[in-house]
Amino acid sequence: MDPVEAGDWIAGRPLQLVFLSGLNPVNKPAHNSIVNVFRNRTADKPPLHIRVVSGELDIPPKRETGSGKGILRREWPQKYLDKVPALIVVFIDLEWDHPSWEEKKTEAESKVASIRGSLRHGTKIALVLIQQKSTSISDNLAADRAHELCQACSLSSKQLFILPADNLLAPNTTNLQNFALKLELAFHELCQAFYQQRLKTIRSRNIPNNSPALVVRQQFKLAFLSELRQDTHTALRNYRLAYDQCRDTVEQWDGVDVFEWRSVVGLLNYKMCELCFLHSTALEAINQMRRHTTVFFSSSPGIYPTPHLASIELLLWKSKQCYQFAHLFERSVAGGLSALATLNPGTHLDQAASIYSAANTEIAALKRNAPQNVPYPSPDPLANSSSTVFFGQRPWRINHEGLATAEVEAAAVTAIIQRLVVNHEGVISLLSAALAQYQKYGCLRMKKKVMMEMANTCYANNEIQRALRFWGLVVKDNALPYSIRKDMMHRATWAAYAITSIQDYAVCCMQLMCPAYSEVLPSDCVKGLLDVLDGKPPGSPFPNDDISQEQLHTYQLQWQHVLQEHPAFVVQASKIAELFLETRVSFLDQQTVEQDSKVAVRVEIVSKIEQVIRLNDVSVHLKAKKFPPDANQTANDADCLIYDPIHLGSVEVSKSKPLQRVVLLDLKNAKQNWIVTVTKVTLDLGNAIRGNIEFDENALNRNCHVENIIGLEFLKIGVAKTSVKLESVEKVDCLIGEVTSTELTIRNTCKSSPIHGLQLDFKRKEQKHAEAAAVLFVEQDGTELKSEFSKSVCEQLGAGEMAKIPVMFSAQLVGDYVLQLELSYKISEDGILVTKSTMLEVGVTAKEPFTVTSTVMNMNGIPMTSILNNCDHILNASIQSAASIVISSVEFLMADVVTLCDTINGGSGKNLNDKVHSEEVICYSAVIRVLVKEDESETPLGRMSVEWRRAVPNSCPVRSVAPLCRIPVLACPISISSHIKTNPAIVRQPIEICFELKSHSKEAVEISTNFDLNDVFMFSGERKVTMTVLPGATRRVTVVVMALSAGRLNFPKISLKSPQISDQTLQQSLRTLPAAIFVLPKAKDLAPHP
Amino acid sequence: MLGVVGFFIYAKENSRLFDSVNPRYAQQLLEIEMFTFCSLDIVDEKSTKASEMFLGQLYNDQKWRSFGYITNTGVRMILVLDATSAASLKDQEIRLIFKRFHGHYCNTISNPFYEIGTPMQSKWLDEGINDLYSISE
Repeated sequence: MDPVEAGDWIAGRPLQLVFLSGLNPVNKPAHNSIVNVFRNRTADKPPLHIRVVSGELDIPPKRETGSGKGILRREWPQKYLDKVPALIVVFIDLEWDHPSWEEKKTEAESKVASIRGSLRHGTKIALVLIQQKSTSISDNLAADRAHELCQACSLSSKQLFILPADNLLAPNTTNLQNFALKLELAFHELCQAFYQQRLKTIRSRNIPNNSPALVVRQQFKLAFLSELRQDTHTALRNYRLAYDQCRDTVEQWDGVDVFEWRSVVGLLNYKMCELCFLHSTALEAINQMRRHTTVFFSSSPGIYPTPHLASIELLLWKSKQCYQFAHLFERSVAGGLSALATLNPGTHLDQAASIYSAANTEIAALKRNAPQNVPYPSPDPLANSSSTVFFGQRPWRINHEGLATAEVEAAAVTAIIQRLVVNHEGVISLLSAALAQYQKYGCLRMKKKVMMEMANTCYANNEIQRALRFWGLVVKDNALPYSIRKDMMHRATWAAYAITSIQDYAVCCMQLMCPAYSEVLPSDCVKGLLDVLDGKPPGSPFPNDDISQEQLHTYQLQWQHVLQEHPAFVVQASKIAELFLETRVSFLDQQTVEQDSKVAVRVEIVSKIEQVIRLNDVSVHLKAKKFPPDANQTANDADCLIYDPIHLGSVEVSKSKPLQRVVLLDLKNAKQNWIVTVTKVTLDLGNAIRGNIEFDENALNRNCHVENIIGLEFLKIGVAKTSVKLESVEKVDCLIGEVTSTELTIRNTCKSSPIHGLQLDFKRKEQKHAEAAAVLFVEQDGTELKSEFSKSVCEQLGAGEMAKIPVMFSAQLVGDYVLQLELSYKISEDGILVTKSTMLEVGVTAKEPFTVTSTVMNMNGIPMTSILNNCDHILNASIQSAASIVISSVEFLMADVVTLCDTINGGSGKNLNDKVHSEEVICYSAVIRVLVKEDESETPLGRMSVEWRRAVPNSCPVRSVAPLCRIPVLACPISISSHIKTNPAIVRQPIEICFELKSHSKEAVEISTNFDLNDVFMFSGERKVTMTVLPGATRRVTVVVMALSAGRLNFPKISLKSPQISDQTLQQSLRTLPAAIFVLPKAKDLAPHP
Repeated sequence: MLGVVGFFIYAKENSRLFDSVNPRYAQQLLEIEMFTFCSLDIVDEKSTKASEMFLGQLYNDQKWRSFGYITNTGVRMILVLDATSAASLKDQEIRLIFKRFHGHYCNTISNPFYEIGTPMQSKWLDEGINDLYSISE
């Protein structure tokens, strides 16, 4: 039995009930206006439910205390919503200066007394006087009359109101609305007082024996009245207290009253969640729902009325709880609450559907085991379902303290069993609602889960076609786990078999034939598919105990009947995640092909099963289309070309023997810049029953890595064949400045017609590379270098003939670049000579012939990073050749400040014949002297001119100029040199050494010389000499030393000091002195005789 | 009994790299697989605004609870627990589990013969799974 509905009162917010008495809207227009104003309810008005009453009040009588044993009376909330008002407003037409004041006062007193006599719950009373002339009465008289009226009616001053009636008629109703609003606010305050009084009364009641049912009842009443009082926080607290009382006593519930307790718990949970959503504390509502499911969903279903019925009732109750919460959640979202994927109404709807589906399963099992041919009991035990006294009360136990009689109880069980129905539509509607929620919040996988459940439910409801559609939508997801897909395809196979759908059965079998599924299947899908293709009924895919023999026989007959019609089926491979056959198609050619050419198409069909599958035909459909398509025009036949399909014929495919075939395709009628693609591959299989497996563009070449694809997936139509072709495409290697000769060979590729007027041009502006524009050409008979040239090759070149064109050029820049030579010619087209041109590309690799590295050394051969002014230095230039060359002359082109000191033994060389092979180095030296007046950080020494030629006969000489290094110059006014007068130096013989100091300054310089002695020499002479050197003068210092040992000895050191010149500068000038002196041993013939 | 149900690792393209279900729950494999599959929706939602690799509790129903973890390269890890179990893991303990499995994952992909994107089989993951299920004893 479905859970009993709580009633209409549970929807929406409860409003305070107010009765209006004493109004006659039918006969009096003024009263009608008053009623209309009060009935116009808007959101900004107090939460009042205003009803106009007339005649006797219908106040319910007081109920006997302690009657009944239930928990919550169903009509109790309705009592305060519809029957027991919080306030009764009495309207009287009475002026303060009415002529019959005493009679009117007595009449009002009797009205109020009569109403008060019929009230029992402390309903408040208000008196409203409708007056026409309020401005003509003095305040004193009005106050006196009001006081008299309050005393007569036993009302306080806050319960008496005046309603001016001057503006009661339309259209002047604005003032009336304002007055009505003020009255409503006052009414609201009186209502609040009434409910507060009722709360005190209920709270003060004693609970005998702390009965759980009575405690819950009291808490519920307090909560509901708090809601009426618009104190929702107190209401929530009281609802929670009632809920906690139920939760704490769940184990003490009487077995026969579990259903009643569960109904009350559901109601309390609903109210709590509703108020939490109202307070915008959605998380608290969700947590409350979680607690609700944790505590009560896992409770024992009980044994009343029967264990099976109790279990079913529990499942239905749980489903209802989830549905109601989802409804609340969705309503709150519509009101502005934002939900997330983790927390959305769909999850609860999904849960409700799952539980409902479980209930359907139990109901179906119960009905199968129920006894048949039992009449419905009479009288109907469930006849009073809508008039039970308490929430969750059994209809057949009304007015019974405990159980009804045994006969009535048994009849009730029978009635419930017969009324239960398997409701698959209910599950589907819940799942559809969940699907919409998941779609809204982007939960794609949860959507698939719901679709699977919906498919299972449709299958159970015998809607097999619909189930197959759902399964087809879900199975496309390649990310779905295999175990889930296996279970799903298993059911789909059953469904397809049951409805005798060859199309669906073939699709299911082809998917399940993949190796991932085959180990766990109860039936052989390969055999089933082959039987269908041969026109035989396939075997049963059901488990052995799932279907009866009679039903199986029926299915077999249906299959035989369908197969006799020889229907065909088509499987779209792109709609299936995985298939036992995969197809790969590619082009074995360059990316760009020529028009009217033939290309190779490679077709590969891979099978995943060991059995041999025979295909009747394999059709490859190709298309050439414009790319990119014009955006302004729609696609039409002129922009694409469909080729005839390529048929491979009958083939057999297995796992160990895949099909690999290469066929030629004639690209006829294809236009330039079109692309050629494979649109579809169709596999035809079957004998009696024909079937096609279609692989469209999305299904081809899938499930394999890109690097495993041999060839290309599409081709592009390139330009047409050229008439003239460059025969050789080798690159020319040359050196900068060298005149290089090469020979271009061109051939006429036309089949029949000759070409005329061949002319070769080099145009500087048409070059792609800047280096190519700098190339200089040499005419054959001239000696002048030109930046452009034009040459006539020949007047006529026959078909297939070749012509050679010699070209001489000199590259000026380093790099790899292409010379683009324009070849113009005339060709006959339809009898008319047409001028055409084509570009010939010649690759050039130009590099420097050699590299020059120059360094400066002092006279001792030590490399120096700076040069000293007025001193001799050695300039050493190293030439590293990049090719085999012969250097014929070398000339140092020095800068103005640099002079060559020795032009006899060094410097420029003439008439050289130095052969240098590739990567070899040759050095040339010169003695130089720099004459500058001031220090310079970077002094260019000049350039070096080298005349060279290739080491081959008949090569042309080339003159190349390379820069020399830059070096800082240090200015020093003193230069020092040394001269050994005794030559050769002999050990133990006097050696005379002369030092010359020369001044280059314009002032007199005072210099002190000092010799550093060492143990190698014996020293004789002045150790320390101070002298003054005049400008341009030379002074000499002579010392005599005697070497004590032979060999290479350190030269005697001399240090200079001067007050006018810094020590650092003087130290630099000593660099020109030799570093060592070579002393010879004494010869034998010179030994003195004793 | 702690109720560790299973552990799953998914690649950035949502392909399955590693899956393991506690043998004690083998009979409910379909439910666990579907629950884990649905939890990926929550991973997709939370990963875009996550400030750390641990995503917290993803999804729960009456039977199972799932927790998520996402690496900097987009690899997702999902731990499934039994929602009906009396004991419960603390948040810090779950973080530690994911951290250890992140280390096992790094060891696995450090194998030079492992091809990125294919299902994983390694001793590190197996030992980690054995240690994880031993908590349930």
